[in-house]
Amino acid sequence: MTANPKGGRYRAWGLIVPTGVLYAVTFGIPMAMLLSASFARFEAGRTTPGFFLDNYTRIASDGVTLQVFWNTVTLSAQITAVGLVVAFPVAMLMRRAGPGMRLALMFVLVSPLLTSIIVRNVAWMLILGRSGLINTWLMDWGLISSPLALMYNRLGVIIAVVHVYLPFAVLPIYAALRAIDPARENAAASLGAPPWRVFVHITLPLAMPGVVAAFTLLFILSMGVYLTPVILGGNFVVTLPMMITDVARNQYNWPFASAMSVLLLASIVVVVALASALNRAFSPPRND
Amino acid sequence: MSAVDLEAVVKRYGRVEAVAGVDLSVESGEFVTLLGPSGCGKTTTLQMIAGFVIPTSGQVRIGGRDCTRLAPHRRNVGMVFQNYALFPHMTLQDNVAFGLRMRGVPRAERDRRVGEALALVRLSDYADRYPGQISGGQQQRVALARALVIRPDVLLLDEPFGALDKHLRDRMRVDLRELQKQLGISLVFVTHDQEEALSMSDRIAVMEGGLIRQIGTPGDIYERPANRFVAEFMGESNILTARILSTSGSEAEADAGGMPLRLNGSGARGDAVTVMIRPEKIMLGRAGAAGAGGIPGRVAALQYFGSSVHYRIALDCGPELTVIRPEADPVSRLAVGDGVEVAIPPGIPFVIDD
Ligand SMILES: Nc1ncnc2c1ncn2[C@@H]1O[C@H](COP(=O)(O)OP(=O)(O)OP(=O)(O)O)[C@@H](O)[C@H]1O
Ligand SMILES: [Mg+2]
Repeated sequence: MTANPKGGRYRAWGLIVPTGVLYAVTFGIPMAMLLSASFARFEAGRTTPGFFLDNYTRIASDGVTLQVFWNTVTLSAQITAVGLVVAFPVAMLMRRAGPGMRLALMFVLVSPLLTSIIVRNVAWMLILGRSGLINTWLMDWGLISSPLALMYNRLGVIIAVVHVYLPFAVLPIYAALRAIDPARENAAASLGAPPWRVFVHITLPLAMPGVVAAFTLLFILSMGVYLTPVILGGNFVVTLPMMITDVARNQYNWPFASAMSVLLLASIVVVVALASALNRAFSPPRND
Repeated sequence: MSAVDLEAVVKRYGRVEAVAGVDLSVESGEFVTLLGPSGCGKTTTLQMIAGFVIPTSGQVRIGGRDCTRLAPHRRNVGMVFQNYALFPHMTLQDNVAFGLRMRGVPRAERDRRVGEALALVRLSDYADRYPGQISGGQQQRVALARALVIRPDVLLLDEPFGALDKHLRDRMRVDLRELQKQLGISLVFVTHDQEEALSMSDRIAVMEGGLIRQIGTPGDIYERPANRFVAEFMGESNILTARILSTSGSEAEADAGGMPLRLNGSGARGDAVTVMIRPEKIMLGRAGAAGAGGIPGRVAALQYFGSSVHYRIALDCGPELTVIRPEADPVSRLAVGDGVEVAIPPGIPFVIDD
């Protein structure tokens, strides 16, 4: 390797050829097809390939699509915000916990990923519904007189999505927290910082790379939620993926569905760009 | 008044006794070193002074005030960590200012004191850099400035020079000692390097297995170790078992495996004692040379160290001795197998606890 660094480099590249091929076939080609389909024309149930801007002008002008897109963005932002706020203390707990406790926490965290999405959402309906667990208890205890609207609205969707995607937020934050040398926090304490100021001035800034990663994952995943708003949103929460499915499956309008998908993808690219800008802003300069 | 008092301090982790009962007083303005092998409890002791570890039992007093269970941020203690533990996301200026910000020191005074502290460690020109942009030695000095700027009641340093190369380490030792004297600061220093301890400290506490085995000035510890552990830890030593033949006052005649010794220390006739002889205090001459007139033996092995030569001498009467002579010594032309004579000045062999 040292004798022939160039050859070594080529060999290293060679190792990713299988992955590269896989990506080209499963990602590159469908993307190209999606992009080209989004410029096709759909008229009276018939698709004409070509380069038409019809679908994009429709997105910009029909007044519904942009509204749904904006709903999706704000919903994702809310899910991301709630997810980060819930995930950070959990990650802190995991950092402090012993190995056994950590394993238990990890299991609890990923357990929703191991459950069928339908089962999970029906379970949430039983908990959040008008005569669900929470409302029944609260009324039994006399804390409320009429049931709270915990689902068939954004709140229900946010709760259920945060529940399932929490591990994607906790794990990057936990990894970042683990990488912090406790001596740094001790140094701050010995310099007179009470625990909350140690957190604000040292722990949180040093965990930022993990927070940014968690933000990116949560946001991207949330932009794609479909079934949970269908079940727990009860037609009151419409997301772009729901609209795409409807247009493609019920109206057979693949070109318009493709254009909306491109919009969704573009917004994700923006999120990723934002995340890497944030990362750069949060990483202190160094020479080596 | 003493700066720090530890009284019967114990720290247990489950069944492990990290610190098994330490008593220690650091006088105001004193430089005390905790010296000992890995795992002897040095860091744990230091962390109990800083407040990161709460003792299982015993008492920690800082400036006469009981701090045993006080949170670290309520103690006025400066700490320098082995890996510096600088804040990578803050400039050196902000690193040093941190403690003053936490104390609510007004902006103008803060800037002035930070400036002074950075000047003290000769880093004024680097105030706007980040820790990732300076060398290890410079990071070390920032850590020192950051801990000093709060004017701590006591400064704690845990193997602060461990990551530096030898040249830089020597320089930092001198700098730290000068700074400590100049500021009159009380200081507890942790190291496992006996040379470092000997060259810097007012007093050294030699630790083993969570206990202080001996505490005293560098001279005390080196010349008059209390026990075999301290003797061996403080550098090369010859440790022999001898039988006392006769005593007079504080001296005694003894026999160590056929080798006659005049001991510093007393005992009853016939007692077996453990004796330590520092290798550089033993005279060495070529066999038959004028003025040698000692115990005959021959060179079994030698190691050349530049400024000194270490000999392993097999005495004809049985025991083996390590002898260290300066390179400039005329006997340094000796070779393995050469016949030699060894003389041990009276009073040099020192009775220690086994
Ligand atoms: N948090 C802890 N949990 C369990 N055991 C510990 C803990 N901290 C220290 N110990 C044990 O206590 C003993 C003393 O540790 P300490 O770190 O004080 O040693 P040290 O003298 O600083 O060693 P070194 O020179 O290697 O830094 C060791 O046996 C160590 O394994
Ligand atoms: Mg240590």
